[in-house]
Amino acid sequence: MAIKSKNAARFFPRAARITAFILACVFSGTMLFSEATARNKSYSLRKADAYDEIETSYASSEEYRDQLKDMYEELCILGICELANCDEEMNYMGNKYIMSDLLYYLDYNHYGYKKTDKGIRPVSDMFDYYVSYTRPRDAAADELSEDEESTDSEMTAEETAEEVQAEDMTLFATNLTSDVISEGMTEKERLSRLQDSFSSYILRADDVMTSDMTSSGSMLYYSYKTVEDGKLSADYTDEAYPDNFLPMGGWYHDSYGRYVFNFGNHEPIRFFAYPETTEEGRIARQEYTDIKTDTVIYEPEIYDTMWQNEEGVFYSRSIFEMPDYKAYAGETSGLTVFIAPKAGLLEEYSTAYAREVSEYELYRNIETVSAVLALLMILYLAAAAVISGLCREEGQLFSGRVPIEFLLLAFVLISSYLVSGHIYSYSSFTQPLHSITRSALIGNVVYFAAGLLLSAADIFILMQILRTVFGGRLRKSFGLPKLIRRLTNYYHSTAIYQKIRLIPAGEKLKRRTINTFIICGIAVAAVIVLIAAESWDFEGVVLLLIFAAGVYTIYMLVRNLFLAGEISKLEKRIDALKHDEPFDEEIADNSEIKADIDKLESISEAVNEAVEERLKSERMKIELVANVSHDLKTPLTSIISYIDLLKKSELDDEAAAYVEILDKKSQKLKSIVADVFSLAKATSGIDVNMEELDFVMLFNQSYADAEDKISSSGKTIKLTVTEQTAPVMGDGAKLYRVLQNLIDNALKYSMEGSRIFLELTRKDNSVVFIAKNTSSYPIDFTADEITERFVRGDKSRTDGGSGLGLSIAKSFTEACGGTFDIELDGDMFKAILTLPIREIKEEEKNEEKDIL
Amino acid sequence: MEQLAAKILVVDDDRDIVAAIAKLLEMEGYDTIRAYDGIEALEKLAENDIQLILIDVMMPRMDGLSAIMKIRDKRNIPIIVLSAKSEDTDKILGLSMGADDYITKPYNPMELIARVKSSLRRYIQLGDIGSINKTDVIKIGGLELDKSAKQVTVDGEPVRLTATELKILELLMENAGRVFSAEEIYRKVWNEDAYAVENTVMVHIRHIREKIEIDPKDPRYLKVVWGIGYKIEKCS
Repeated sequence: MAIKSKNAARFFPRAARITAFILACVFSGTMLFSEATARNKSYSLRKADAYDEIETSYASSEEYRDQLKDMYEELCILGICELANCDEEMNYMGNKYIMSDLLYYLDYNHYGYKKTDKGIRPVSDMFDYYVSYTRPRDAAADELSEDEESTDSEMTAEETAEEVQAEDMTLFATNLTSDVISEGMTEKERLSRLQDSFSSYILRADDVMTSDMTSSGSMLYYSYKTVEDGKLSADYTDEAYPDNFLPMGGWYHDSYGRYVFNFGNHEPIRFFAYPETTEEGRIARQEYTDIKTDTVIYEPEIYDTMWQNEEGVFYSRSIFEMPDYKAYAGETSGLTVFIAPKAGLLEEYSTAYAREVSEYELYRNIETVSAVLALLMILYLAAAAVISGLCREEGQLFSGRVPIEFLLLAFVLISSYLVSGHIYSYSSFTQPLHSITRSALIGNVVYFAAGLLLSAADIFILMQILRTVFGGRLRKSFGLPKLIRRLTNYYHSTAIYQKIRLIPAGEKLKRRTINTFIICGIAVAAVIVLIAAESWDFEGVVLLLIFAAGVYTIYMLVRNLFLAGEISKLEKRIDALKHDEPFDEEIADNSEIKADIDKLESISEAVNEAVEERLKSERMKIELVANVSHDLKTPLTSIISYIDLLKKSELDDEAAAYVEILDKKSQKLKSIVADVFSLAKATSGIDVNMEELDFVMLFNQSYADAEDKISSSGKTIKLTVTEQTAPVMGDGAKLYRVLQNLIDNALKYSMEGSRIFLELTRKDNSVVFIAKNTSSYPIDFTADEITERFVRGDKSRTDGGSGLGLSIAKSFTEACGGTFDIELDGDMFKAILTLPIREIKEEEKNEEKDIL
Repeated sequence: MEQLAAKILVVDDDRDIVAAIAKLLEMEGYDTIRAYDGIEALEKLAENDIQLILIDVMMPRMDGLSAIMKIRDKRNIPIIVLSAKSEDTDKILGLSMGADDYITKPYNPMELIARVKSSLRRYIQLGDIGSINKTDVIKIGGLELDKSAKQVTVDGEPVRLTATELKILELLMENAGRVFSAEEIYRKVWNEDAYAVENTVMVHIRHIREKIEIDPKDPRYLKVVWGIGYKIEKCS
């Protein structure tokens, strides 16, 4: 479906394509950069309960909420740890380890604070705060005596002193100036003063949360454990962050001297009343994360034992599961926390926040626009690539050179990388553009360039793919099949393969079967061992092994199937060799039966050579005999001619008698030469003209032909012909010669006055001719001897015959496919000729009748 | 007789054989010209008025067959091949090259003379008379049967046949080339049912052969197809 038209290509001139490509890269680079920047900005701008949306107001933003929550937590812990344990003069009377943990906690979280002679005072440039702890005189005394023995006596003394003056004792800390809050005011006055002074605040007092904030945003919830009857609840309690409020939170302490705080934080914060040097302290501190080193030293698990290493003793049981574990709810009713954003500051933050939001939106808009533009450009380029492919444009960069699988893989990898957003985790995008640092700027530029280059590569690859697919080169551009082919070819050229190739098919089959057995055996054994040991640790390995064994077995079975086909070819080849037929099936050079076929071919060649050699030698023999007989005939011709001339000339009686002898001998020589020649021809099997004939008729003709000789011989012949007809295949002239020889032989060598028996019968599927006579000479030779050439029954007789009569009879009979035997019994001479009868089908018989 | 003056060219590379044949022929009253290879034969043929050629096949310079082909381009005189090659294929080859007869060595001198006479007779006597087409005359080679006159001649020489022999010959000559079994011949000639008639027919056949063939053992016309029957060769 190649498009020849230049019109289609006209819409995509080179310059336009290059321009479109550059624009597409720039736009998609811009899109990626905008997306990355916007996404990074959204982390700090997003809504807490809806992560894919951003919060447009700073007061509701996550950032602001986190600040507020941290402040609240800090103030709560300060109130519980410090204010609740100070005397009237603000001298800390509580556990010193708790205090050190508090300081560490502030440092660790980079909370601003200052240490004054009146204790720890948080410093915040964002919030005005007020925290106080009010201790009822008697309740405080009771609690203290129960909880902490070390401070017991002092506190009791203090409280007793306070009780005299007032009912409650309140200690507070604040960053407000004394013109707003002063020590001289009562707690109630201070609180009403605070509420009056600030339009937006959060107040926790008497376990009640009051909020006058326009928005503190909403968080999801946090969970903590409650304490009931000295035991921690089994389940966590979830407390939600209500809109504009913070969760109330609480705390508890336990029998291991831990103070656990749940004030607005997901994770409880723990302080330790015992030093690390004591057993209890060590147990308590080692259980979870060590705050000081921020390393996990022990992850509690549900085990029942305890072990010890160089880091200390570890209880294998969770601390909550320890038999002496007890938890006590901490008192929070005296705690008062007030937080208000500093006047003016919130507005300032809000302005900055709003700018961030607008930047975010700007990036989002840029992203949308550049995405649309990039898409348009890519569509244009894709169309250009398709048209270019259909037009079979030549001379394109890399066209067809790079394997298509590589291109597809690269396209998928780069595209998925760009879409997955891994690239967006680059941190410099969070910085606002107006205050960006130099290094962040460089980072941005680098990122932009990286995005641009990746997009460029992606678009370019896409175009290459489209051009390949629509250019009809898809099939050719696959590199993997080529690689496999090349590897296969390489393998085929190696010595190992050459060796394997020459292994006979049967051996190959044997080896493969054994290998398959071994591999399946290993797999089965592995499964059995696995089941017996009931250990499933190596389950994957075993499954892999079984899978591999299965794949191998199937592969081998498939190969054996092909081998079986090849072996049938081999059998066909053997059959062809057996029947001496041509074998024209193609046997590939890498065929598995190559070795066997090669051997067979060489046998076949050897056989053919032998046959040819034999034929050649037969031909040579005939030629030799022909030449010899010719060479004999020529002088013989002269001899006979001149003897004849001699006979015609006037000779005296003696000479005439000599000439007569010469004449006889030369005639005999003549017949010997003729017989030798025809005998040689018959034994070599050439010059035999097989035709269909009737042996009975042949016999009759021969007999009739010899009738003169028979009557003149004065011997009696007894004929027995049982058959009317005996169709055989044979050379008529040769068989006539055989019968003639046998009759002549019988006439010549039978005893005077004896009878000669000629029998023609049928035995099974053969016609049998027997000539029997009583020899006139004692038989002093064997049956084998008599059919050998030049052997005669009467060794002394010299007249007539070449001595080849029976040899010729035997050779001619055999040349016609029959058998010729001599049987000797006393003086009884018996020649037996057998020829297979050719069965004539009814139809043929009818046809013959029609012809006749 | 005029044919006694006939000149015969004897060609053979064996000078003794040539001499023997020449002597034999001369004793019969023929003139002979001798040649010892094909080329010499052609020269002698051009120089003399030759009536018959006796030629060997295997000769130096030019072999007999090539010489026959050259002679046949110009002349129509009888050619008898005289060769030691006795194969049927050799005979067929020689005859198809244009030879009139084929005698194998070692030849029987009597037979040789008979064949020479026969060929000459055919050439000089019958050849001259040419082809007087009698409708009742069947002619196969030198064998002629005049059905109305009940007369058979071989190379012009009359042959005496009995009535049965004539009938058999007529049957075979009318269907020259076709093989007849003994039974068939019997049925057609004797007009009786045939049973074990091989001998009867064979005896007649043998008698006919003795009368019409020069060498009854190697017949030219009436042939036995062993095991099948009898036929008269349909020759040119």
